[in-house]
Amino acid sequence: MMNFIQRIGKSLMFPIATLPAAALLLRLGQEDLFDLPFIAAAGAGIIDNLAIIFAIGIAMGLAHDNSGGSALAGAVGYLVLTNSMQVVLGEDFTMGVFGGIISGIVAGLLYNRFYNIKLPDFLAFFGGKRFVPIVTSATMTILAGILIFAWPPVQNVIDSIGNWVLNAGALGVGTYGFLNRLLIPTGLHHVINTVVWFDFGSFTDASGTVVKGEINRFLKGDPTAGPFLSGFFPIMMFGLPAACLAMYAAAKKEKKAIVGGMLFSIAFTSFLTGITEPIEFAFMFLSPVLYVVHALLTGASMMISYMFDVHHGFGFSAGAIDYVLNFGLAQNPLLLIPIGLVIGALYFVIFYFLIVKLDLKTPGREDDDDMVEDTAVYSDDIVEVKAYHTIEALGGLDNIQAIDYCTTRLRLTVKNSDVVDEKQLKRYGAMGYMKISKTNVQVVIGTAVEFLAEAMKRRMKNGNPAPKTEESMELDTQPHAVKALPASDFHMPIDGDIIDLSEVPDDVFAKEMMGPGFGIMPKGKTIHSPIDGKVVSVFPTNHAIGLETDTGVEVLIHVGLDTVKLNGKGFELLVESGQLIQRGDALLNIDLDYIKANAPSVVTPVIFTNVEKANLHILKKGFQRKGTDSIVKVDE
Amino acid sequence: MEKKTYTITSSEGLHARPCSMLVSAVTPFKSEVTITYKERTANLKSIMGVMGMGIESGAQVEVTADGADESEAIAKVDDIMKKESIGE
Repeated sequence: MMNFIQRIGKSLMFPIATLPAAALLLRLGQEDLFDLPFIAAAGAGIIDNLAIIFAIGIAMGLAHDNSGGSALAGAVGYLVLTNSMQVVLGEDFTMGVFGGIISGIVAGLLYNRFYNIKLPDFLAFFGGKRFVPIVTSATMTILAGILIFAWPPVQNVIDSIGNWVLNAGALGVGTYGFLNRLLIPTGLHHVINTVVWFDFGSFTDASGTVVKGEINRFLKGDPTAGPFLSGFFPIMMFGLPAACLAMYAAAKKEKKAIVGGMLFSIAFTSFLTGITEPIEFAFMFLSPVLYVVHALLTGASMMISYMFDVHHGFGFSAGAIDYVLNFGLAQNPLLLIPIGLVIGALYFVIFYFLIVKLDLKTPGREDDDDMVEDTAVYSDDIVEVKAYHTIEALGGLDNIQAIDYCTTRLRLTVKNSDVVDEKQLKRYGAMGYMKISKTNVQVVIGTAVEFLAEAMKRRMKNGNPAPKTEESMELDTQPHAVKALPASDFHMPIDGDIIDLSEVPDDVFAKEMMGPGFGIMPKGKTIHSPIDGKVVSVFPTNHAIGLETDTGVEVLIHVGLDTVKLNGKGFELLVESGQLIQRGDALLNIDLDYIKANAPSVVTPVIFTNVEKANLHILKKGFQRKGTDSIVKVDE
Repeated sequence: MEKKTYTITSSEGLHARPCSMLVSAVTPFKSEVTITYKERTANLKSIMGVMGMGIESGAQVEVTADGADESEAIAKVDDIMKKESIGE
């Protein structure tokens, strides 16, 4: 779980990179500074749309291959969610970044689940990655339906807390500061802020205009305004920048240069403009405990400033610019500097201590793959040697576009499959090679493919350095591993009804003399390969075809009963013995009408000739479409 | 090592029924039992292996057994071949 939250945190780093510049544009363009609306709006374009930007960033970061398909799903999901909720709860309704975070998570998870889904032929256009935004939209619609009822009560609770803090003195101010920060990830801080900043109290200025809310009253010169604003200055100008310094100090030595630039710019942004989201989102998910500390310290700062009777405020946010601009309106503003220094020192000490003691994964301390990479590269085990040579045999880094894998095979997208060196692949452990098209190839590796594929993916990132030693390399091709077949790896070979083998009117099959299995009453024209493997036997009369999976499970498909007597009539073989095949490949065309007329039955037994009955589990019955998975499963 | 040559008489060749009978007959033996046809050899304990050879009616095949119980294995093959009219 923690790991998952950290992945969200890491995903956020990508969009966060745009924020400091956007924050500066937004602040500098304001009318109280340079008054350049188009500059301010450019910055606001990003800052005001954090939610959808985060949805895209998280969805992309969570996708196993950082695919743009997932990013699109994140954006679509967010739009569906907010639009759908706004219709019911009003145009002004917002869940802030929360909506974006939820959408990003849902899209990312759905992407990893469905990116390779196969739909029936007539829906094939909507299959695979294209299915992800669709299913994300559906999910978000349901979620919106739930949140429409669940969210307003939550909002009401926050609203009533907001009303309570107004007249609860130092404690109220402190609670406000705490909740204001703590609620940022949920977007609910806007609810409290609206009450406090724009509605609390009223003041009639010299010209007779009545204004409401802390911010408006402060800017119009109300001497009582400011207790809910002052305490933010020490946090935004000193505390959060000090937190960045602590994260920098605690970062791994070799990462300091990388995170240093990022931490400095987000610290400076906070100090100058009071835009703190870049810092807060940088550690909120990576180490939630620090975020709670940050919220507590904000509460403390609010209370201290209140007790020292500081009245300072901002029209924008509590950064240095507002501090200077509104200096003349404030009471005791200079006190904020020593308070800020103390708060800053507290942030630094507490953050540094907690990060190091609890080994928190702040930026520059994540257990990312790079670390693993370094040790793996030098360990030179067989997998690394194989990975190195497999990449080279596939035409090197330049030729490989994407590495994917299933239970037994590498599935690769390459620029040009002509340059692939099949001999070299087999020399380094491949059991088979299959060219699907100019840009798609498969390499049969066996059940250990996962390790090889992961090693190759790492090597794709670090330039595929040559392994140091090769002597230790035993060029054993991998033995056929355990005879097993997961449910996902057997697809229905043809449309038809699944029946018990015992119902097949032929003792050879019904009594399982050839092995366990099931029967199909076929309703299609073509038998497709149910498995990834190769064709091991084709009887001369083409009515039966023997397959073997990459994991060594034998599958015999015998079309019709007594069909050996048809002498090949009614059958058209599409593959040859020894040929590598993958799930869905057409194997054999059959003429059902002819077979029905000339053989005792068209029932097609599917027999697992080298599997013990106890290890074979038939999972489905009745009519099944070609390509449906989870039909059977074979245990070791 | 013991060998014996047969001519397949079963009308469908060494297909599903005869094949499974031979395979299940020799599987219990410890010896390695193989069948050779047109210079290709397959394990007689593997249905897929035997069927994959596509042995047709009238074909000449050689069955070989090698191991502790080789003569018993060949005797069993002999028995099944004749009893089930698979070959002679």
